Amino acid sequence: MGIRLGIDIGGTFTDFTVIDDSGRLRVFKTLSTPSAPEEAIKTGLAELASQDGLSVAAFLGGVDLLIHGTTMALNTVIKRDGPKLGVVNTEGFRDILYLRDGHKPDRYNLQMAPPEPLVARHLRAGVAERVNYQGEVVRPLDEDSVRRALRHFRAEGVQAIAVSLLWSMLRPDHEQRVAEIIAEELPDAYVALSSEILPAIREYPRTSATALSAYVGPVLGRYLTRLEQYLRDNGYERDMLIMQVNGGPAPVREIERRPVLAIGSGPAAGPAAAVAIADEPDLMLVEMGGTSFDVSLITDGQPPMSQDLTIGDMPLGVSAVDVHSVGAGGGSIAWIDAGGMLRVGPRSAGADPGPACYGLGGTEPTVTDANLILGYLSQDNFLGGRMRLDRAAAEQAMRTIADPLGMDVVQAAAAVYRVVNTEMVGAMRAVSVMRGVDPRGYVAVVGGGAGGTHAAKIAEELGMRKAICPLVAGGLCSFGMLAADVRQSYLVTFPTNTAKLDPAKADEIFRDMERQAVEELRAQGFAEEDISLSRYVDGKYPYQMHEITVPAPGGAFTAQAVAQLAGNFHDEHERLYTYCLRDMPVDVNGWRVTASGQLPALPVRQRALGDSDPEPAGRGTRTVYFEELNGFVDVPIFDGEHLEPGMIVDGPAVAELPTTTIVLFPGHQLTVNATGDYHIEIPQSGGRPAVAAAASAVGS
Amino acid sequence: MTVNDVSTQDAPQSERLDPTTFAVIFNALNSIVEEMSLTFEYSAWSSIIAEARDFSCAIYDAGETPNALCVFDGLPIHVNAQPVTISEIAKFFGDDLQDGDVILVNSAYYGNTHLGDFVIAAPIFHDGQHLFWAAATGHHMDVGSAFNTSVPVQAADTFAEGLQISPVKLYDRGHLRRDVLELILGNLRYRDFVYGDLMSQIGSVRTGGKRVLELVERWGAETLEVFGADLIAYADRRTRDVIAGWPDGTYQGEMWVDSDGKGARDIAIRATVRIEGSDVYIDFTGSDAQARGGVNAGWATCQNAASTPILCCLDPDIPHNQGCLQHIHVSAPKGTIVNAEWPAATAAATIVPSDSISDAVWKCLAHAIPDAMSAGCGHVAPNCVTAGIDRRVPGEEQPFGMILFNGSSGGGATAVGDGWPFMVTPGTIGGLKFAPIEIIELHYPLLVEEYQVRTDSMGAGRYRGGPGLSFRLTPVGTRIDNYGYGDGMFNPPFGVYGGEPGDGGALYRVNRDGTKTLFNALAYFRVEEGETWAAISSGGGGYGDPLDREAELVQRDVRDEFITIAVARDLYGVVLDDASLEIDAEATQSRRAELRQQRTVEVVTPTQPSAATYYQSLAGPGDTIEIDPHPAEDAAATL
Repeated sequence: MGIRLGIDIGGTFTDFTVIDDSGRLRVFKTLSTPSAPEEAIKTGLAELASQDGLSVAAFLGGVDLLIHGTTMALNTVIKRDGPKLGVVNTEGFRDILYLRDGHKPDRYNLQMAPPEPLVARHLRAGVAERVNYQGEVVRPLDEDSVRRALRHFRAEGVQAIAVSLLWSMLRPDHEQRVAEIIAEELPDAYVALSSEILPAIREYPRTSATALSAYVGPVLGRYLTRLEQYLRDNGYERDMLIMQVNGGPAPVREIERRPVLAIGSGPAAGPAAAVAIADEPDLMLVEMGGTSFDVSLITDGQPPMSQDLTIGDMPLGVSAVDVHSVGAGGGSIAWIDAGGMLRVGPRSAGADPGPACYGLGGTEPTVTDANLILGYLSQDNFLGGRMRLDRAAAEQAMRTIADPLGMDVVQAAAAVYRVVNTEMVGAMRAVSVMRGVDPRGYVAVVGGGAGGTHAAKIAEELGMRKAICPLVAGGLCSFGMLAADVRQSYLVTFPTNTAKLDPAKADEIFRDMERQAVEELRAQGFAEEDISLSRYVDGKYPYQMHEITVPAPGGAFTAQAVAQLAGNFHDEHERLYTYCLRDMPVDVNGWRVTASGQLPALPVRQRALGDSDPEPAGRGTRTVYFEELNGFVDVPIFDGEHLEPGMIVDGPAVAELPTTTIVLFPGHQLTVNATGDYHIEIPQSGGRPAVAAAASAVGS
Repeated sequence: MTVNDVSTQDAPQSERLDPTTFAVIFNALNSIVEEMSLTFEYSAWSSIIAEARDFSCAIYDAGETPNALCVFDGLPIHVNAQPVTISEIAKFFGDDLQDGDVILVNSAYYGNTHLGDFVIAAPIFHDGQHLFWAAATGHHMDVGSAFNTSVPVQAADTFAEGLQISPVKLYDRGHLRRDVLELILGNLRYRDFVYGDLMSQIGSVRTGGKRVLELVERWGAETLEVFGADLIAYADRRTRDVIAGWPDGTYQGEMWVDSDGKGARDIAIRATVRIEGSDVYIDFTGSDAQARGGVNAGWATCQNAASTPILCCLDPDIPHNQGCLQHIHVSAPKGTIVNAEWPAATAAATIVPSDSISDAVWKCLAHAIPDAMSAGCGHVAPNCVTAGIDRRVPGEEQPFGMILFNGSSGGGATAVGDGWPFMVTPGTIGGLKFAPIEIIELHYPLLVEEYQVRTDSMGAGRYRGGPGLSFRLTPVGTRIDNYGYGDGMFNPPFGVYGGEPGDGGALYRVNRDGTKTLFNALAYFRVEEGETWAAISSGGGGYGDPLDREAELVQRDVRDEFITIAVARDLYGVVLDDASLEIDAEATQSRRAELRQQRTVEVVTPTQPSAATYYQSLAGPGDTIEIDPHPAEDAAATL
């Protein structure tokens, strides 16, 4: 296999990861160009090609696999600049998007603005029809009512239409007929059907996923067409793959079929990167950037999936990699609330004006300012020396909270560091302890610019014994795209119960999905042996309202498999909720198959381990604050890029890299491994008991 | 209000925690209670908990009168009631508390709200020392009433209401007391449901206990004790500062309960709010005598309902612990509808009269702090407890029961914007969730015919109320018995400063012959196959003169069918073209000038009871109106 290229467009930077067949790995960043995202790709490709002394065409001609993650769909939703959208619902139910789940998140806030749905009410039409919970037609589709709605849409200039009728996942006929009528009445309109986008029970998430698809579909489609054309014109001969929110890439035509899968796709690639790098089964990926902290838990090599992810308050509905995000980053602003409590975030100084120490006009104290005052960051060597930090400005900003707290500037900075750490620990608890998982057996994998400065400390708080800061920490997601297998998900809604379930019927449901999965992956060029299939069901106790997704046995689905499935459910229920009722039959509503097409393994470049003495990478000392040592101490500073495989650094120390700064705390030990990643051992003998460190409710 | 004097704000600085540790533990405690809530919500069995979220979890200290430390994300109707219950539990058991005990209580005369709310509390011990309580309140769907509902307003006294559970140990030193559990379940129709919900609720409390112990091990008991005091002082400081900014004075407000379920109408609740320095004193002297049906408040409900409006006007993120709550002093004469004496029935207390208690206080606040308060929120008018037999699968007939809040009422507008649409009640202020239509139809023999915004349901104003909804359903292959537990249909959500009231909504059955039978909000009624039940909820009250609303917003509301073109013209003075809906600027100007001449602006509207006429306007030829119909003889025998 030739070159593999991962391209991740983020809000600020567009990241490229290039891996050749020798395992040589390059991470490259260029500024994003939000108005025409492909421009940043063109710029980056030109740079990469010129680094190799090649033309873009020659460079792309050598690329065998190009995987792309984009914020295009996400930004369309956030900025609400998609096409004029109409929604068709069952008559009497046109407010599904407005009613949501009815919940008011901040109830004591009387002045909270009412929710503003993606589609105005006059563009949400009800059409006369009804299917019941058994998929039977209770009221036939009144085609005149459809045409009336569509004529109104046409008069209003509607460009895209989401069709979501009740119980369409059991009987899609009415939705399909509506699509045919749309083709007659508004032939140019983009159409998304809920029975195709998300054939799941529960009308709100289904309608939401369908509306989001119709909203981002046209924009995304045009962008992907332009990009594909550019790539084809410039020598790339393969199919481009698009990263999906479910953690694996898929061909462009699959994304065009279900555009919702492309929303939030970038961060979903992180876990695959962690798995590829860490060589351990249980990982917690923590990415700390300028404004947010993203965390995801990987158990036994698998990231957890969730059906509850939202974007701009709208549920995605589809199964997505569960990345938990809180507003805690390097730019998070520290402040004192009306009761005198120190808070950090969620407000962020962002890139403009940025932290006070950037000297770009910021006057409020941020986490980055605290890190500079504490000596964690270098005044002169931040971002590899590309930016000089202003310590006096940081201190002046910190004084605005130090004075009212009755602290000096250093104490205040130390407090900011600890408080923001608790926010992050809270997010890490939310994905682990609060879901019944003990994080102590997990290894932290660190990404993002601010990650190295905080990660080992927060990992210690949670009782974790190891943190890994990868060489590719700065472009973790673009790397992850290359490490993930192609992934497609299938879902059938068939409500039944283990007491009365006919195993032959379940067998048929699973096998039909699996047959389709294999067919589709074969068509993409995967050999039979590179395709793997997993089964899941959404189960619950009778009359319980919420399902949990549990694995179902593979192979011929027999009565024994039914018992095993029920057993899986009881176990998981007990783990999550402290109790289970083993005599109780289990309701099963949703049947799922996840299919992976395994891409050729990533080549890894291993270097021989050399001498353990890090002295060659030494860059003198700096005075750095460590709470454990009761204040400032002189510690050695290392140039991370010159830390070679086999070298060992004992904390306290600091290792500076072009994209992050690793702070090594007393007792921590850093080793550079054969692939050049930085492994930090965290002793858990000293200090406080490790259980249940502090937590935060932010971001819930 | 009976609270200890918690004068921790004067604690010497040396005993206080450093700000960092304080913030760290504060966040940790919030996330513990959040985890308790998630455990309860996601593993519960009945729709009222799992979908409607009618529950609250909290952590208390182990003081003689336990202080609420954290009620993060609690349902407002429980926030200042649960502390009364926990105090009663602590008083009842005194020293007789052991590690592993789990206590259950539902009696309103042991500090609870109404018997539908089961309060589960577990003492948290560390090294043999009782340090904290973990508690969860949840509304259960069966209380073994003579009537087939957990909200039996028709019950004339506490004996008819159902199983009254004084504080009992459900677990003794970690061992489930099967005898007690069976005693309780044996009194219930839906024992499986209640068992599932109880397990889920106990799971929530145990999770809380486990996490708090980890916190104790992390920080030590002494640090946590200091933290508790600091936390209360923190809330105290913030609450003190806000209330001190309110104008001192005495303000009055009056609200009326629609009916007592037994024929009496417009029962008055009279509130006097006195703001003095950093404290608020709320008194209900002059309120009507306790009622015959289950529409009375016990003390916990009264204190809670009176407090909620005040809490809504504080900064939303002040923790609602004792340091905050102690600034609200509630008093009420015994034997009144707001502070009933045993054995008065309190079955519907968390809605009737709770919502009207809150409204009486809200009306006082309209005078006192107009910028911070909101106009009236709809009461839970058209909701019912619904019971019947699911006959969809021959040979597998089984009883079912449910409580849904899908017919949610709209919220009141404020000085800065339109009302939130789905407030449900003044006591929940948006804290409940709707059940998905497809989940309702999968679980119950019901077909939902309509579920959408109701045009012209809300009070007009410079800012209008949130809309009410229309929720209609019909039984499939069976009949259903419905027990209303609502209010506010005769006495609608009030408007302020020229804003109009919401319309009050309606509740009716469409009979097989097409006629309607209209009911009041506390009615019992049966719906047969082929008939439809319509829950028509009220929109919220408006704020400010509708003539001051931006014409473009009025136009948008017409376009979206939130209001009709006639209302735009008649109430807002905005004239639109019938076809294009374009604003006729000239006609609007003269129409508004004309309307403005006829204006007298009241602070609160209406000022008289039974002002709503909407439900009457629905009655056409052949239709009937039934007030307080009593359950059918065979209604309880749906099993």
